[in-house]
Amino acid sequence: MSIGIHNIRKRFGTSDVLAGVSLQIRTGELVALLGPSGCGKTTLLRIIAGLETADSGSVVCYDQDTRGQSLRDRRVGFVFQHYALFRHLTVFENIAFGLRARPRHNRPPEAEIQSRVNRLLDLIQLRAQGNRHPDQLSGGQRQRVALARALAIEPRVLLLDEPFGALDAQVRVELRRWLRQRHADLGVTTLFVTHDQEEALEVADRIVVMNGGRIEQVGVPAEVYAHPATPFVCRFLGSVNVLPASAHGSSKVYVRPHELILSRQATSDGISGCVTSISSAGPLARVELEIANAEHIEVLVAHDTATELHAVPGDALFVTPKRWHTYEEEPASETASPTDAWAI
Amino acid sequence: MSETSTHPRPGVSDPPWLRNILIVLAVTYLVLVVLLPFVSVLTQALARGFSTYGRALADPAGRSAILLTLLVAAIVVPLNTIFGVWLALGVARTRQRLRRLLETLVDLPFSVSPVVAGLLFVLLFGRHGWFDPWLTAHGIHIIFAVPGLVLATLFVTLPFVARELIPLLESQGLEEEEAAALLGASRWRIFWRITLPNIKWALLYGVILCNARAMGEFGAVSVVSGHIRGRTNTLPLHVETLFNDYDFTAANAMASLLAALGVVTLIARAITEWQIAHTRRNRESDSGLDSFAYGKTP
Repeated sequence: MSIGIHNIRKRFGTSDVLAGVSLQIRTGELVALLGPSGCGKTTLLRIIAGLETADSGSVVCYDQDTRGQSLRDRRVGFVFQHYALFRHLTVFENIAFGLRARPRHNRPPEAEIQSRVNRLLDLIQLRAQGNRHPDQLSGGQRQRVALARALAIEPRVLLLDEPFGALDAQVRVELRRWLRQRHADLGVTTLFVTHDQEEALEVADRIVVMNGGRIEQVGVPAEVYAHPATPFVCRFLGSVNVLPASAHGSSKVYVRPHELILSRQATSDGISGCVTSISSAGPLARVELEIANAEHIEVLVAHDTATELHAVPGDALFVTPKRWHTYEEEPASETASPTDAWAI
Repeated sequence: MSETSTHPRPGVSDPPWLRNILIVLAVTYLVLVVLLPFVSVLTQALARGFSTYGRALADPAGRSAILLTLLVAAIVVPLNTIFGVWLALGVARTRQRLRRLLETLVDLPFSVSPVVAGLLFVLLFGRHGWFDPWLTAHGIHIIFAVPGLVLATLFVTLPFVARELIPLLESQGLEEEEAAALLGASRWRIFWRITLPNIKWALLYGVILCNARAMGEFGAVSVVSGHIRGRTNTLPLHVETLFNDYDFTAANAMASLLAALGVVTLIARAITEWQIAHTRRNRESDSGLDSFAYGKTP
């Protein structure tokens, strides 16, 4: 076990940022802390790094309680959201900083510093840019320098705060595959914070979904996606339709847009709706329907299916869920709803 | 970005004729109020030839005034540089409520008239002052002596360095320092290798302003000095003494030194300001440079 987090609590002013969080992270794992902004994920990351102190609870790192441990002794590699590169130092010196900062008796000799930094420059494919300053690099390049700088101290744990948050969509996708690959090569226990569920699902070995200072669910991506433990997780990990009470005997039914079947014939457990719009851009056709109580739902179907249906706005169609999630009761505390984009 | 644009925006800018009149008025005002007196100081000082100028500067009282001014600045500027940095770090990194209080304290010398500042020190250390019995018992002279000049100047020039640094430190945030700490750097190393290089131009700017004021301060120093020629007269005080003696040439010669200091300060200010603007521009370009596609490495 590389990191053990036990019942961490943290208040800022009158609000609970972390309301008792416990989590175990295994050696070599790549874990995503996923949640909306303000859910406490960055604070948790900073507490693990030692940049913040918890009001109560403990962080155990490789069987050592981190309380009272100096930042140097923690050997944590940290990549800041905006990189925090040393702007007056070259790329080379940025990466060498951690090695040069060691106390004299265990500072490596200059030749070794040179070779280690050069190896890291090769790793991040920036060997030729070693003499540049951070302001001469693109965002993706800076991100990689920040990573190399953190790796230079041979950290036992690598922490990344929104590692791709400040990047263009395309750069982001490339860089997260690159990071996934580097993690596979290096095997450093890695924890990263993100608010992007797609990123978490693609990159992480395990996902920790957080909301309102609590952990909602922990699991491997497929499991968290297929079996969301709470309505919040269900809504946060992609679009979901919330259907009213039905034959399933629950108050609400959560169904993902691609897990609905559209048909012209009525089905036993289907509900009827009126097509309001159809958009066929993208890999799937998106059909929006209005059902009872003026609620709107979204259905994703293959283009062929859409063509066969000949649906036009105004048509009455039947919607039948293939797979769905029901929850005993909607927790009253669920106020921090995900952004409107997720909920329909 | 529109603020820095040289093209006037329609609807906001004045019509050309009005703009020209305003420019002419502003330039005339500057010439009358700033440039003319400045030039007259120099011409008057040189009016009776360079020899008189040289004699005025070679006068023992004059030379001692110059040396005293340099001595006071040599003590005050380093002290207020160190404490200014310390205060600024303290203010920028404390919590909101305490920060307000500290900032107000730092600004106090700016809001108090220098004469009042001088009087404060007389009330504390002068005859019948709070510390007078103790000082007399130990034979220490503060008022009408160099320590008094140093104290008064320290008080008046305290805000310059701190005031320059506080907004910069606040805008820079703490992340670079945090990154350095996580990489294992000691506090000392973080300060010298990370904090100081990031604030060096603003610091230099503050030091220049602090120095200019330390050498040019009149009011506070005037109260605590006692105007003892050759002993407690600083350059500005000596100018006044000479002026009161109707020795206008010598007064102008001395004043021209202060004026020259002003010019040097102005140039140094321009350079540091340019550097600060330059580094700020670089920092702004830090964000949103991503269009340089990732992966295009040679």
